[in-house]
Amino acid sequence: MSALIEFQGFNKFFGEQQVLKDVDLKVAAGEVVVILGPSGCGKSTLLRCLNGLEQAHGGHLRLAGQELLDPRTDWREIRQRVGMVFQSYHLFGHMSVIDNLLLGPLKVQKRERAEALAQAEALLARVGLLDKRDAFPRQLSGGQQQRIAIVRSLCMNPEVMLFDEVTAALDPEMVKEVLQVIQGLARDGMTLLIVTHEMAFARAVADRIVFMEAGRILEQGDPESFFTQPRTARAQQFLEKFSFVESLPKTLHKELS
Amino acid sequence: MPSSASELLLQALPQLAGGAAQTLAISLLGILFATLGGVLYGVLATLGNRALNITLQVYLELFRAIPVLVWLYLVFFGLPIFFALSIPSFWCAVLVLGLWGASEVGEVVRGALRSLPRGQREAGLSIGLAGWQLYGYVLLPQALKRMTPPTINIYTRIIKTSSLAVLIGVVEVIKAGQQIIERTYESVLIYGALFLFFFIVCYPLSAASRVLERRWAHS
Amino acid sequence: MTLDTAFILTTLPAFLKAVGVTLQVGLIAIVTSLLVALVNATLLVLRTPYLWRLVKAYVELARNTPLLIQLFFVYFALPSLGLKISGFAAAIITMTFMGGAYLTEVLRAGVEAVPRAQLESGRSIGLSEGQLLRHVVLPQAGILSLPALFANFIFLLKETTVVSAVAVPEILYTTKNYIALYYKTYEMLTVLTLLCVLLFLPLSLLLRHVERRLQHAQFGV
Repeated sequence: MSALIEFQGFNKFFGEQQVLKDVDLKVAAGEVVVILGPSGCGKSTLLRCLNGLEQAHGGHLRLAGQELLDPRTDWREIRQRVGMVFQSYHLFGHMSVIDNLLLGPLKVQKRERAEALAQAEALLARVGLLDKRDAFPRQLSGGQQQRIAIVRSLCMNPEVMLFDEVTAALDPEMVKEVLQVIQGLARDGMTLLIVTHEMAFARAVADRIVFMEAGRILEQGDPESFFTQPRTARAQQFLEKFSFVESLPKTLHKELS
Repeated sequence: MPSSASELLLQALPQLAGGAAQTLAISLLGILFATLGGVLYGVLATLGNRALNITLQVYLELFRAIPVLVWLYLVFFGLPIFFALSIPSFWCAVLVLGLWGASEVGEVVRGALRSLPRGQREAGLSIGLAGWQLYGYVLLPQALKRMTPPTINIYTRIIKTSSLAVLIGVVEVIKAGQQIIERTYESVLIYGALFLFFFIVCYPLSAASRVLERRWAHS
Repeated sequence: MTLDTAFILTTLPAFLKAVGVTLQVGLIAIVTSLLVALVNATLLVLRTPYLWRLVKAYVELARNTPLLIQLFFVYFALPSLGLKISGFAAAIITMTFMGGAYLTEVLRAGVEAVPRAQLESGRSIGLSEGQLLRHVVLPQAGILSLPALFANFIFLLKETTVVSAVAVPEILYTTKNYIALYYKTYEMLTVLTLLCVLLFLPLSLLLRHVERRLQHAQFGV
């Protein structure tokens, strides 16, 4: 089966430092891939190369067979096919929610207003925020803004959705609502590339886990195998850090005199 | 024969008003070009193009190192010599005020655009906006509040600096006043009136700028 | 277009003198403006009854009118009331009037920029209002004001060109004079431009360096 996304021998440098080293990664259509790894391992950078926010320096990157590392690549066109959601949502604060959603469809894709509006409202309803249609971002909570940021990307009808640590900036009680939306997208068969620290979520939603460190993919496989029996020592160490809190010994009852 | 100060002032009014119209015309045209040029400067300066940035910096430093009055003389005397162009001193003044004003407004616009979170640019690009769309729909509208109070202050300075046009021979409000003084010798009255004229034009702008700054201050 | 360099060389002594006048007028104006501003800022901060309102009115008046008008008023209008003033004196008086207002604003903004938290922590360790002012507010206000003060000093130096309008022999007046006498417009404008760049560009770059070092917000001009 030919992959929808293919990284081949992919390299990227920040000045002297190489942040992505010979990355080989294939993602099939409809697959949900979660990328895990310690801070600075290059997982966010990998995502950002896929929609052109970062420049690559070697190797191949193909989207549905089209080579993207070509000076003639029209990134505007690619970005309509590859949607991205950011950690800090970055809704356009001077526009209402509905205007945020319509900007891309109307001004970039030049679609009919009636059709774009219908889609935007339907998607808003699906994430339970239709009543916030005319609100402004500053009036909304982080979780609400992030759900709307997801809808903003969906309104462009992308083939792939990229999620860059989208719950990292949220208060804990709002994480669930966002993860539920992402799960919904996975169930609907959308191709997703997710970078996250939410281990339980990764385990529940991923079709495949990709573990990176220092710019390389160290191992990849299905979630159950990865979480219960990681093959590499680094992956083992990484997972141990996350189970650290659960295995903390109870603080012994102190003697109060 | 005018017997009181107010009578004299009333008689002088038409001539003064004519001069004032010239002063305001120079100022408004200067403000217009400074605004258009400044927004262009600010956008160009945030594109990340190194050659562009250096060019803009040279332009900025030239207008900062050389005082506006010197620029007025350079353009007024220099244009005929270097470019064989003889333009009326009115337009020399407008040109200089526009170019100088654009460098000042440009720096304000650049600062305002740079103060926006980087994610706004990325979010806009990620939904496929082209460069001009990004600036027009996302960045400039959000930078507007931060840009406005300092820009109004620059407008005030343009209006005050337009007074220097008298020194290259433009018949604006000061020249008009001086012509009246030649006839009537009432220098205190006329210069006082000119003083008041500029104050009445500039003070509301300064006050407005302060009010807007307070109202739009973000934390 | 060729430059008559021989002629330029003959004018250099005069231009050197002119630079001296520019610096003289500029530096005196800076010092006197600063003194005026210190007095004003004190009156504002202490909110001395009636006087602080006077200072506010003065600042608004001086900042919303052009230097040229102020200059002409002092030089042309005051003589008709019996006061005859030289061009040089008129220049100093006027530039002090204007410069004092600008610097007052800078100092006031500097004091207001000292974070409230500083005052609170000072009070909470028991400092009196006077000690607070002396040890916490003024030193910090001084440092916060430095970039804007320096920027305004440069501004005053550049504004000396305006006083050429009352025949003070600084660089612009000297240039105009030579042009009127010898018609060597190209040469004289070149010298003027070079002088401006040599005098003011290093100052502007120095200011940029000072700003970067102190990394604080700007106020003033």
